[in-house]
Amino acid sequence: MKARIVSLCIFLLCIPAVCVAGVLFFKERAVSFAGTGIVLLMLAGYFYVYEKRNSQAWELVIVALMSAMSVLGRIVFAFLPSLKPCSAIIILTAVYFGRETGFMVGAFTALVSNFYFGQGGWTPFQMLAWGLTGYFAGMLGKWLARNRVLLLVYSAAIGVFFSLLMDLYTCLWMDGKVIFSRYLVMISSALWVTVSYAVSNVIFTGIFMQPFGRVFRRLCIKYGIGTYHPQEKPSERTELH
Amino acid sequence: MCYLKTFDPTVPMMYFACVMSICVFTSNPYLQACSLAGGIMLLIFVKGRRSVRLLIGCALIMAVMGATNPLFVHRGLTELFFVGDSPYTLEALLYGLSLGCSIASLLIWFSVFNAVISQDDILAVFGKRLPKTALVISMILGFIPKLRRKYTELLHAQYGSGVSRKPSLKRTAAVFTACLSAQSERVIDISMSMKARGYGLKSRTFAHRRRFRKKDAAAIAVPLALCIACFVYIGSGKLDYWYYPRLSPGGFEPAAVMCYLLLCILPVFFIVKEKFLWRNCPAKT
Repeated sequence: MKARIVSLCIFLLCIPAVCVAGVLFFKERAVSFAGTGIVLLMLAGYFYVYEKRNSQAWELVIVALMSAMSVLGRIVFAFLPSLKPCSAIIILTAVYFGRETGFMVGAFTALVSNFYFGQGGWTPFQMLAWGLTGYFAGMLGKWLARNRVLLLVYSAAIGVFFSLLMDLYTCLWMDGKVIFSRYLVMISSALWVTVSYAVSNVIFTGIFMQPFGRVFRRLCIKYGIGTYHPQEKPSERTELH
Repeated sequence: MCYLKTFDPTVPMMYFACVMSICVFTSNPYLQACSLAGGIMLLIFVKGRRSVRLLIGCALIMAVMGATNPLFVHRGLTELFFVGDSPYTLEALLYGLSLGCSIASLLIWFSVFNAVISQDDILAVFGKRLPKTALVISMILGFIPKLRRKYTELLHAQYGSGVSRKPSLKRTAAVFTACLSAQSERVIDISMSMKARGYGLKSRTFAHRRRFRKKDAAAIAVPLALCIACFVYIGSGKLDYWYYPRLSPGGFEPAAVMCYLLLCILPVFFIVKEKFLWRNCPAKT
């Protein structure tokens, strides 16, 4: 409860405070200061709630394993130019283990893979973008798990969303504010990247859908973890404690 | 860079936060020049010859930003020439340069950050305040080499069974999935072991290898004071600088610029001091 109040305070007080500070101190670059501040605060709020929540040991371990898998995926699939499996892995994890696990897997994937590929101002934006990828997938998990076509469509759409958010970040840094015409130019010049995100998401989700689903369903049946499929769970389900 | 590692890792992280919170967002050219100069100096001290590529890249970014900004923005009164119907103005050119400068200083300072601060330092700083996050990060960093080893093992098994060595999407995906299914149950084992050994109990304590000493506190206080002084000057409006419609005449406040310059080249003092001591004070026998 206390954690909720604190995170609410972060959202209601600190975010306007950051905006005001941006306008007060950095007049020309107010938007980029406020944008970065808001992204950082959203992450801070989410991580704070995560810290305070009572989570099971398996949740942490699954988050760690799947983040490590998607970092590994980024390494082993490096021979394919501009195709990355990270989003697909995040989406599938979120579908089978719920939205909070999905968010954390996305955020940690961005954070840890940047240990290898270089940290920068883009890290918080990437963390948020991938985190939201997982969060939304977890929210829609019930439908996505049942309907394969919907899953593929979702992964294509979220690839476009990811690319647009990263373009927004580039735009914020380049101009200090969002000039709409420049944003459009940026989007159209990064069109190839957007398409490659969407395509790689669809390809990898298509490839991993069945084998990952099998592994996760097995974990669910054997240990009773995850949020998946009541009809496949044994009726007298025991929690892992 | 080992000269900066004599401090608690909180010190360099705080220092970078102080420097970057100003240099990335300000549009005052004097402050930007300070941060760029300090960043380049530090980068050369820390990385030596390996910094040349980044510096060339930054120069290119600044040039491109400066040249292209007037094509999108037509504000400013000093027209240099016309592109089509729209004017190409000096003010927009300089504003583009200043934007390029803030991107360049961001890249340079993050490069120094990556060289000075390692994963262990980040975990040491956040381990106590965010135990769960730190636990997950260290687990991930532990899993990655294990998974890689497993992946290589499985790949070699595939080679042994006569699969072609050319990397293909299908084979890589198969080995990757096999990797997941091999590790997933082992990982659940870890979680059961954590449960058995008292994960989530209130009585757990955290062992910290380093101690926060007075020297560290002093080393934090100096950049923090300089940073606050700069923010006070920025807030008072003495450092306001605008490019449109004409370049502003003021915006230069000697005391504030000195403060920020001092902040930016602070680590150089430590590096030079340590080098001097190393060279000139042979161990007394």
